[in-house]
Amino acid sequence: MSLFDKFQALEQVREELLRAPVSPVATPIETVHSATRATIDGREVLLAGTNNYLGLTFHPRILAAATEAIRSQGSGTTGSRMANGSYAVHRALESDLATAWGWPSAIVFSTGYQANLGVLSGLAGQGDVLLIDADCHASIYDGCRLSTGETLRFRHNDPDSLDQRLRRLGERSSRTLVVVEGLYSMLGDQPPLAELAAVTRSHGAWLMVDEAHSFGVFGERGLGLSEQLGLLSEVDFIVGTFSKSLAGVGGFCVSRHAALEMLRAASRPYIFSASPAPAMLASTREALKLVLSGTALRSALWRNIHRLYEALPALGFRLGSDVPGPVVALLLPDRTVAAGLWQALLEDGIYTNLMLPPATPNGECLLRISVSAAHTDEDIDSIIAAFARQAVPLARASRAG
Amino acid sequence: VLEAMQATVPGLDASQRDAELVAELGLDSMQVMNLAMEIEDRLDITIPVEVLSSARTLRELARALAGQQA
Repeated sequence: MSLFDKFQALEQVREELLRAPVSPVATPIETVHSATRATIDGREVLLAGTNNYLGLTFHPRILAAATEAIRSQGSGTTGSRMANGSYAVHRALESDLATAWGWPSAIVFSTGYQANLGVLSGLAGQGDVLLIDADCHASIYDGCRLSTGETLRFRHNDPDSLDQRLRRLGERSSRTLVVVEGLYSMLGDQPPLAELAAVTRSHGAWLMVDEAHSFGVFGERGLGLSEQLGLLSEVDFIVGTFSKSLAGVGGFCVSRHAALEMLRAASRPYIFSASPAPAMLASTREALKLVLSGTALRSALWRNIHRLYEALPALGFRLGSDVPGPVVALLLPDRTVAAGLWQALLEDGIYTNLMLPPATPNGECLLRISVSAAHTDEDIDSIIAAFARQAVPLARASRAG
Repeated sequence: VLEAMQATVPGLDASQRDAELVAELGLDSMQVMNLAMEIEDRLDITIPVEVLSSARTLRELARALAGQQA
């Protein structure tokens, strides 16, 4: 027996994927040129799988803010918030975030993954319950594992299933945190948030929405699905990330409850991680301003979303969601077909994401496009044309299979 | 409890109650959790995810649930 024996099955799958001309997992990106262009395998490709929904990664104001901060405050904080890593810029970004929601507390974490780890493990202790949607992101599952509370799951996007579980919990509902996402990143589907919030409230439980993929995209000010649906008053905690619409790296939690501040003394991922570098916070502050006033960016994004949600089903592709959103997930019959399509598109100059089980729900094999406001009309034309070239051989292969 | 579990995994028979869910029956971690969700709804009980990590077979899972509800 060795420590590595358990990886044998995983190694086979990984080797199979790496054997492809260009690996669809951990694809080596040689140079990135802009929000929508990079060089992969010696070829310039159109990026259609980056989570860069507002396309802000090269925005001059963001680059200038980061450059100024790295010159004036150095390359890193070399410490945690609890010790020597709490600069004015950390507190300034937290104040910006709290102000954006009009709520009393916001906490910044070093990554989006850590935001979920830090908030869930910090909030739910012995005797508390985390009641999560079954399709929640791995960072939510891992936050639950780190918590000393109990974790329960309800059926994906199913208010009745949530209701049943809260009913079974009885009085413990008042110590239960319900966790859902504003947009599920695998299939690109949205939750029935009004119904889920109503069920949560009727049992006196607490509600957290992870707006990682919906922040910047939904709502007049880009605050996410809760803003779009007019449900901000129903939500207790919102977590999010800097690594999608905010074009950086990091995570955050905002809350209507000032007591969120206690996590600074109780959340191990917060206390024992080095704080984000000043340049990252300075660039995120600038990006946040652009998101909040980003009406034009959002209309560009939504125009692109609607074009793809119309064109791809018309070509015969099945999508993971009927309701348009920034994630366009194509459901494919198996691993081989999905990996083959990914490769063919790359050879045709389009980079997308290949998503395979168990990272995906219901054992689905997916090819995912994330739409960006930085995609021009011509870029969307190119994406649709590339898929059109693959649609016929794919249909033939599916029939033969 | 065992009967409810058999009903949720197609093709499973009583002789497999000692088979390891992951190593022998080939279920992945998500499928094990989905199995537990089925059992919750059939029996109208609560099964914390934490219970699943310590139960490797159906028999162990049944025993853990019996302990949980007792």
